[in-house]
Amino acid sequence: MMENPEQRVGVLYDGAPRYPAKTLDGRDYYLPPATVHFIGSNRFVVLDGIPPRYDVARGVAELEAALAPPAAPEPVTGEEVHDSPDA
Amino acid sequence: MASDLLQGIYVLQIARLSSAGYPMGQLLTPDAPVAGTVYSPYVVPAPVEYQPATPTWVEFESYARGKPRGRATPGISSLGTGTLVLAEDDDTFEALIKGKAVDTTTATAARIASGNFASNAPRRFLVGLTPIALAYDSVITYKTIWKWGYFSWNETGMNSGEGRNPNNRSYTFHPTLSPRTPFGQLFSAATVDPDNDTDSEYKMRDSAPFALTTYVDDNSGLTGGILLPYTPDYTEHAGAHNILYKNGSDAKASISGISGKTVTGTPGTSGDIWVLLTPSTEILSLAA
Repeated sequence: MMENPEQRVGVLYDGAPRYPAKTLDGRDYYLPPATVHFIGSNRFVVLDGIPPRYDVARGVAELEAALAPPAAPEPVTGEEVHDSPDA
Repeated sequence: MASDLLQGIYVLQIARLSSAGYPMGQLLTPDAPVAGTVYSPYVVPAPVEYQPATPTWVEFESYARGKPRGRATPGISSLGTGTLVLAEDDDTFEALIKGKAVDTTTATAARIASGNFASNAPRRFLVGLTPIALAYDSVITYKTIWKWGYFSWNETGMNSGEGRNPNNRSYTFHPTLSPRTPFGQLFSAATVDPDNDTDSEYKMRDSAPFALTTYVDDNSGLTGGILLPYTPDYTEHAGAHNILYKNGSDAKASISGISGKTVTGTPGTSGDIWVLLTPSTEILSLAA
């Protein structure tokens, strides 16, 4: 599980950048970032300068998965429903 | 007046070149960019001096009856080599010219770099050096001078020197000819029209250093805006200061706005290569 995924996402808000605290790979970096990848909805991630061989698409997919809200529990089926004794 | 005194190196930008001749920022695989990404050069923190290359000019002449007669040159036989001097040992710069990443994985709090002296693949760069350009009226402007080429390097030395810059690092620069301007236009179509449609030096003067940015289009990002590393001094996009090219052609008509660090416009096709040159005072203070 990726730690603090929201720290890795920047936003263009009213045309001004709110830079993320970490690169997509979770490293510190100096401002301004030289390599920025846009992931939709005015959001962006910072890629490492002189990056190691790195799969950006996979990194973004992992980030999106980490940012996604937890899935709602599946409705329970096949069980008999009893009235509450207090009803 | 267009005569000015060049002093200092206030900005040094270095970007990898793709095989097609476009600057691709710090991307170690410049022929394999990721769409929807802004790639910007490395801004070297401690440049001190560039000693220019001296081309070798071929000459032939006639001498007979004790007197010189005809003399001519067909041009140069070599571009020569220059020397770039940095005040500090810069592992990011070295990683870039050597094509190897700085390892911050083996020990996450350390920085580990290879000398890569067995390299067999010289990597080509677009290098932009910006001195002050001082005119007769003492108004300060900046001249950004672009060069294309590759570097060779030496072992790391050390000494017991004191005072200012006691242990400079020197790198040999091997200029090469480029078929494209810094913003990707083919020289064959360029107004400057150099002979043989190639060149190894290109000078641009404006009120601030030209900051270089490359954006690889993803067919959507420009709608909401893309992010430049340095704020342009001018918000115009009509061709006065900012140079906005896509795939080597003037594309300023596709740009609808420049605000702060954000450029908006009409997206192109995924994979289109935008190269933007924007005068920016901010690059002077943030090149740290």
